[in-house]
Amino acid sequence: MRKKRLSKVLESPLLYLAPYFALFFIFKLGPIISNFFVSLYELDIVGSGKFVGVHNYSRLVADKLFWIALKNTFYYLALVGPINVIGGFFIALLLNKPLRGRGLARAVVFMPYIIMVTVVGALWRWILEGNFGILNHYLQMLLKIEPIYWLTSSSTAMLGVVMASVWWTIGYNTVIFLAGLQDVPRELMEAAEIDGAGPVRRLLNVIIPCLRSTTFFVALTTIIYSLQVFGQVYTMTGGGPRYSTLVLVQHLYITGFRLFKLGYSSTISVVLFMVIFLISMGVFKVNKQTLS
Amino acid sequence: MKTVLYILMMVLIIVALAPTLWMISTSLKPKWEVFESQIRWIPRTITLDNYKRAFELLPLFDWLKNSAVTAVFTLLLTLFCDILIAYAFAKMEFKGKNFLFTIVLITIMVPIYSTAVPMYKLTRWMNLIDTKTGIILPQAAEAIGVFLLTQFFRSIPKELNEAAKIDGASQWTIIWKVVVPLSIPALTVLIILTLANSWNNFFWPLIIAQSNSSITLPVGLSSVMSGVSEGAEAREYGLIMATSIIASLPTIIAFLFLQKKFIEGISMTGIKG
Repeated sequence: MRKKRLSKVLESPLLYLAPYFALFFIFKLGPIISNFFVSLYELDIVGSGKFVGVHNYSRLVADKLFWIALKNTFYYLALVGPINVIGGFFIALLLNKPLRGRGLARAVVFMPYIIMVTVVGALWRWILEGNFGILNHYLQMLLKIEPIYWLTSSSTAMLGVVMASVWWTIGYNTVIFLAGLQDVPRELMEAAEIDGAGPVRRLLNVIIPCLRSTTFFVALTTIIYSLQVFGQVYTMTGGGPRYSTLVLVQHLYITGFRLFKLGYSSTISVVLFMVIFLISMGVFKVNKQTLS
Repeated sequence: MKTVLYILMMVLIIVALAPTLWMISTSLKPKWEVFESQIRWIPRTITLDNYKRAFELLPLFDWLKNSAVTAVFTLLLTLFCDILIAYAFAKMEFKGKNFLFTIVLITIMVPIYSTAVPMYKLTRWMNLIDTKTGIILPQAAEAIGVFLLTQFFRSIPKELNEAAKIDGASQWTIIWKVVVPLSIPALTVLIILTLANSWNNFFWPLIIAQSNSSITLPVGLSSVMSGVSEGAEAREYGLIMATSIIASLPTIIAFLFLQKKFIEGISMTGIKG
């Protein structure tokens, strides 16, 4: 009897769903949904806050720093996006050629990606240091220019963050593109070659069309993750100098967890979510249109 | 033509590798040599002084321990929960299965930053601020593993299940005796991803870790750089590079040995850490 009951329990899907769903509802789905409601409250660390409706949103429109952060985030995306997608593509193309040592090159290009973001930030802060940084040293040697105070002047700080980010993440895109390149049909390449198509023609007419869905995926993830840039900024510049590297996540972090304006912070995060959602939709749409 | 390609590849290797080599080189230099206008890749005097001082001045052992404990418990919890639910999604029939699976998948796309405030309130309410548990539980709620394992379990032939069932085995037994042993490749990928993601996780620990009982390496290192941490200055690059190397050594070593698995994990899930 007892054994029978146990065996019934062991057949029930509920038993297998329960452990994960317990975590999932509490720490994932619950917070995702309640974040929309929290953005309508004025909320401190203690207490349950005061309902203020869309007040936080109207405050956002008037918040100068929010607009700066939005602009900076897109500036970052405009730089990192093309470099990482196009650069990742050409590196993949190069490392797909039958060269000796390409395995090593693939590993070396990808390796920075597994390093934690604070180490990336620390390392690049040292590389970009104005007086003793190694980058300035080589720039002076090769181009004979005055030292550039990368991270301490507001016109170049974002470029510094971009350099670190490209070094950190371009290998990821390279790996995805390399995987895509393996699926380009051999016969197609050979046929194009027999037809007398040169390398440029083969690239444009065979390889790029074959990599459509890969490119779509790479572009999409690059955009999504670029809009969420945080760790590099936090460790390299803290959003400065003069807010020149303040990005959306940095702004919501400071607002929420330094100033403890929690409700307002979640308003910023809702907007971040919306921006990411809308842009992803846009990318999907462009992808669909070019498909038909 | 071939020569050009080789030159390009050499340049690529040098550019990609140089920062890491510079980190190692700096970490091995004595203080006075770090700030020299002459660039030396190989230090004149090689010393482990920075490493020694990192351990003396910073609570590195605590941070290492917290990072390791968090990673291991996140892994155990993730494996247990994900294997069970992935089995249910892949091999069992129940109402609303596709709906639930879709909901789980959608959350992969939602940025962690869009949940930080409710999570913070929740963690406070549960009294888990500044605890390792507060870091572990949300990490184990991530859906990547569910996705990865469900896909893999689906590829295991149905006949094996049915044969085991005829032999009188319960679903529970089938999971641990049949499915898990057949899924070692996928599980290896999941183990590596989970450990690396936990080890490198920055945003959430930064919010809730406050003392050395829960501060993990990424958070600890960032506190050194923002000058918050006692004992070391933000400009002590020799010491900071040594700390950085200690922090990234486990992942780098794992990568050297398990390179293929890392890359497989990337292309199987398409998820960035």
